[in-house]
Amino acid sequence: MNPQILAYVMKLIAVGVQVKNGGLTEQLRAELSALVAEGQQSILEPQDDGSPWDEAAILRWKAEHDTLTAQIRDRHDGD
Amino acid sequence: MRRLAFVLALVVGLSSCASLPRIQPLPAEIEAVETHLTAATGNLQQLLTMAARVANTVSLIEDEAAKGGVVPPAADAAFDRAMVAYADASDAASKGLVSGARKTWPELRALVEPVLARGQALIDAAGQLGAIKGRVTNLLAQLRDLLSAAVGEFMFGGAR
Repeated sequence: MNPQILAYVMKLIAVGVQVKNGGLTEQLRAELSALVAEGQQSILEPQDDGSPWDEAAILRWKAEHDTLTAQIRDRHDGD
Repeated sequence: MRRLAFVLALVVGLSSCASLPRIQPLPAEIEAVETHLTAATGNLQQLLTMAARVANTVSLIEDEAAKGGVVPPAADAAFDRAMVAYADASDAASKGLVSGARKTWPELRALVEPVLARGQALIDAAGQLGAIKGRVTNLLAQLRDLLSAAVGEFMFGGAR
């Protein structure tokens, strides 16, 4: 999987655990704000090759997705 | 018509903000909204597809083991149901993304959340798979992380 995504999730979980244990301090609030900004930025990132997202690229990912879920359904539906 | 829909979404979105934003030239603002939504849709679709790759690999492993008699029948049946439910949820989310009907960040997030719930149900069902449980545990952890990322990135995105 994308290591950047994994690292982001781990950081989010780590701050969440600290908030749960000790409450939302000013420092944790700042860390959370930084993570929110990072997360919002990442969801707006271009494609892996650096080019901006367009409809054709989205449809290519969807076509693969639909093939995979159809294979899953064929394998497990009605066994 | 599409641009008109974006203008409408923009007006609705701005009217819900606590403080009014700086007024900008309308065409530039529309273009920015379109770019954001296209990028967000693309990234979410990519995450769904990457998660489907992982789910498909887990599916292959379980199916082979079930045919070999390694998986208890009751656990196999429960896993089958969980896997089909996951595929259905992911299909629904993907279809909703590409339809373009969802124009706001909370709406996009709401599309992906059911897939995370079905992914968790899949992980729970995999806990009953007996001998192959260890083979799929790491893969399912990847699936959960991918879907958590998809939802997590929208956790505070509603104000956009």
